[in-house]
Amino acid sequence: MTTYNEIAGRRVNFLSSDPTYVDTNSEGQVWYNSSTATLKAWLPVGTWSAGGNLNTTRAYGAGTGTQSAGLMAGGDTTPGTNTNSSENYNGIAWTTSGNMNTSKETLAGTGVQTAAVFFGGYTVPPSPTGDQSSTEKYNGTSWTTSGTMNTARRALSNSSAGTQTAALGFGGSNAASNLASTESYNGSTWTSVNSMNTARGYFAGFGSQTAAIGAGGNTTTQTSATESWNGTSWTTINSLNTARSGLAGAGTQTSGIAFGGSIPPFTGATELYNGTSWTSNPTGLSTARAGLGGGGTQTTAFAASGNTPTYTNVTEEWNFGVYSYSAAAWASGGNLNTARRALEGTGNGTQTAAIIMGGFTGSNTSATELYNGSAWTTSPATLNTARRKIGSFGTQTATLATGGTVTAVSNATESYNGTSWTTVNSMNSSKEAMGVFGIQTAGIVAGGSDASGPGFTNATESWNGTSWTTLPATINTTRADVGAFGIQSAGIIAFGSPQTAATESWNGSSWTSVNSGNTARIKPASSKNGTQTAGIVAGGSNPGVTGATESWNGTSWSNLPSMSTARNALAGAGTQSLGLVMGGDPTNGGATTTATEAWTGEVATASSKTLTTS
Amino acid sequence: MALFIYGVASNYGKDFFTAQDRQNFFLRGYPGDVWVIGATEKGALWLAERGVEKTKSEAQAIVDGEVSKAQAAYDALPEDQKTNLNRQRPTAINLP
Repeated sequence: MTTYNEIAGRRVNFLSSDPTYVDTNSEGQVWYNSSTATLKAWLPVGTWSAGGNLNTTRAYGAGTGTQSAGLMAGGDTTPGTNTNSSENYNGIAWTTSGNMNTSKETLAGTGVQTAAVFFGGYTVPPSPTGDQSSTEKYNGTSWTTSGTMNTARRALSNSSAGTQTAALGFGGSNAASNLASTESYNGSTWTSVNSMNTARGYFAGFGSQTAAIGAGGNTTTQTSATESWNGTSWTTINSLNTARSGLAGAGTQTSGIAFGGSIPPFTGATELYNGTSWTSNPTGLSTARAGLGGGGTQTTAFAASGNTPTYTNVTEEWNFGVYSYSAAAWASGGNLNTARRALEGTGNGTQTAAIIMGGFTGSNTSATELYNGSAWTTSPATLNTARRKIGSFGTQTATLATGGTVTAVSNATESYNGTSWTTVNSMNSSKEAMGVFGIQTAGIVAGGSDASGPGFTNATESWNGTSWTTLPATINTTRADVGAFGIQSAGIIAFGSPQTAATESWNGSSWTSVNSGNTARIKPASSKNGTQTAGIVAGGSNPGVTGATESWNGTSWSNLPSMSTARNALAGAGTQSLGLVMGGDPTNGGATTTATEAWTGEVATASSKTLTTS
Repeated sequence: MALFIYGVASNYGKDFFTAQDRQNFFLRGYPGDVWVIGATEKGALWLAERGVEKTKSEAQAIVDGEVSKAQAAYDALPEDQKTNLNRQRPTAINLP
């Protein structure tokens, strides 16, 4: 097998935590997170998803903070109607907070949710009217006036650069023209510093007081021009790919993001800046808009409110770059209280709510145990008839157990309601080690051994919750000791004795041979609560005990990692993605085990929290 | 086969659409809670769970109505505000 080292020329880093994404040069890095047992990579996958809605619909407000601790304040609630309201965001929902002292729009804000500063803006009549120089600090709950800009201005970048005690205000416009002037704030007073090269309003700004970016905006038309501030002067650098005004931005001078705006028309276009150039992301905001607020970083940002051209309260969240992959694997679970084998066809439920009954401990047992995802508890309820090689289907609290061997094969059937076992109508023929699937009120039994020797049967019986009916359909390959999963109208039977990998699909009325498994075996366990298109089998004998695991996708079988404890005659439960096996014979010589293993299928995740495939 | 399906669905906030949805199918929002969705099984399921399907002409009519309201709001602004704030009159939006 080709290794990653042979392909990429380097080994995968083994790290206890994810590395910090630096910039787009980090793309393609691969590492293994030993804490979460996941293989991860930075990939250029960036996507906006829906966040919580603002309580106050608005546009042309200002935003700052992070995706999990954001702040929005000011703006227009309708055209020409200013607001002084502010809201805090926790990554899920917005909460209304204290009002600013002055209602205004097209202001700028910077800092964090608990220490921000908002300044400038425009207030429509009656008073105070026109361009604003006022500056207000926010402590997470309330606003305090602190300082006055040297040049009153509006149409600032809605999110600006710096912190509450070291901010930068630049650009914007007043009644006469667009502005290039820049001012530096020390927490109490503003000082004029060198101007931008291009006067502009309605642009994106981000970064720090000594390392900032101004991008896009309106000069006489929409511009793509971008400038970089080094603490002393502005330098024109590579332009945005899409000229626009009314956009928002976030991040740092070497790792930034710009989104939204008006070309016109309104756009959701999103671009990433790496300190040198802008790269357009394949997808943008779901709702195109201008005059929006935002904050965060290049990898996790938020965009809130805006003009669509109706004003909106919706928020979108940006996540960029982490693709993680958790390989499918078996993990140890809690041990059975009673070691047992001869569990062919036994067990059902889910990985966190399973049941096992009967089996062989040296003699037949009637013991029933219940699993909660970590430990087995012996149920006070026992089978009315102790036996082995029982067929069972259903859930932990609604199970049917049928057939098996007492001293001879049996057709006895018992129903479990979560508290006790009740004998119900028997199968039409006695047998053991059948293929079984379904729920307590609707199941299928197929194949099995109808004598204590190798007298295999191909018969199919159907259970309707009250009685058994022998169906005219028979399985194509007569056998016992099989794997099986599904529901009464759609199931799979596979593998079995005599040793085979033959697989058949049940459609409610007939059996059809489909693609065989890879490793012929007898006495495997299966994900009993799987479906006709998704299941696993594990373990068995071929002829020695094996831990081999195979997954069925509705068409074919594929090999998966093996169990830790190879064994046969074990029980199974769960599904293709979350399976469970327990008990069995690890020697193929009559030994018993209490071992339980839990199966988790592969999981791939993009953007840290979505795109789940398995 | 049509590339898009159209519908109306009210954005209820967090996880109304997920990053998974955005990667699975085209999704774009418009005024009036109108959504244009890629014509895939997953896209159709997303809409069925959140709103109601519309024809393209029905969806376009809703958007046109919202744009008309926005234009009326703009037209009602005093001339000095239109000039001072460098706002432009909303233009028609044509659904894809």
